[in-house]
Amino acid sequence: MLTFNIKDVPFYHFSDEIPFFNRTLPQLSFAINGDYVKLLFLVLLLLYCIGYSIISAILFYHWNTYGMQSKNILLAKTIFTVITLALVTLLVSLILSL
Amino acid sequence: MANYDLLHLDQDEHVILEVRRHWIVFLGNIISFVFFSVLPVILYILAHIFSVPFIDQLSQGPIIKIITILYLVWVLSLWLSFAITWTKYYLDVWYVTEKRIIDVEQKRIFHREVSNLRFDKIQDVTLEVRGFIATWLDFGNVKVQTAAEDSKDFYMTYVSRPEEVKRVIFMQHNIVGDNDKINDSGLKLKE
Repeated sequence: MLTFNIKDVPFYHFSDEIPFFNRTLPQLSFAINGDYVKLLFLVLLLLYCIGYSIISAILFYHWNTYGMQSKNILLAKTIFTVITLALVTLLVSLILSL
Repeated sequence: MANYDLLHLDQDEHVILEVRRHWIVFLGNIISFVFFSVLPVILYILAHIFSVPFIDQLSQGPIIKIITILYLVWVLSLWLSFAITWTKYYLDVWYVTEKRIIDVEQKRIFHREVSNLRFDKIQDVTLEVRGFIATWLDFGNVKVQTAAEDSKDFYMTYVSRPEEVKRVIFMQHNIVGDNDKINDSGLKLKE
């Protein structure tokens, strides 16, 4: 849960007395509830993964149907799969570590 | 070994040459992909160097993890876009066989056009290599003009090894022309 109380904002954030670059971030009371954030990110990631999988499936269909089973297509499939899996693994581990 | 079943070649027909655009065409996409992938990292480092307000607070706790997650989603999206672009590049090809040229145009991911041009219909092959880089890296534009009014010309830009493409097409054109002459003279002798 991310809460923000207007009282926490220092006075000078509403005045022109202090230049913008000298200001600091309002002291937000970051009460991030780990479970909710994790759940939210997992749901969003799930939706993203569904979209990603659909487009990847379309690409694989094209590679299998029109790629004439060439070596370059095989290489492309391998590189695409390996990098995708690496990125997704990193993503999931980061979300779980929240 | 590639499998050309999809092209529905005749029994005695084989693919002699695959003609694609030069890799230089794709270089722009590679540079874009790398640039946009590292751009958030560069911005983050610059923000630290120039001590942008709030950056220290953004670099702590769960916020930095959330930023990293968003960055990974960004890289994944770029990676997918890169794969789509490569697919369009790779599947846009001419197949030269002993009898014809098969032009496969992959315009968009769901827009594909396939045309055939038999060698006896070819009137001329023109190639254009313009500029220092094109000469140095050996790429250019190739145009195959047809004699038939109902057939369109085949045109491909930034073709890799254009001289080789022209040579193979002319060679096959001559072979087909010679075979036609032999067949015609054989028919006349029978008559």
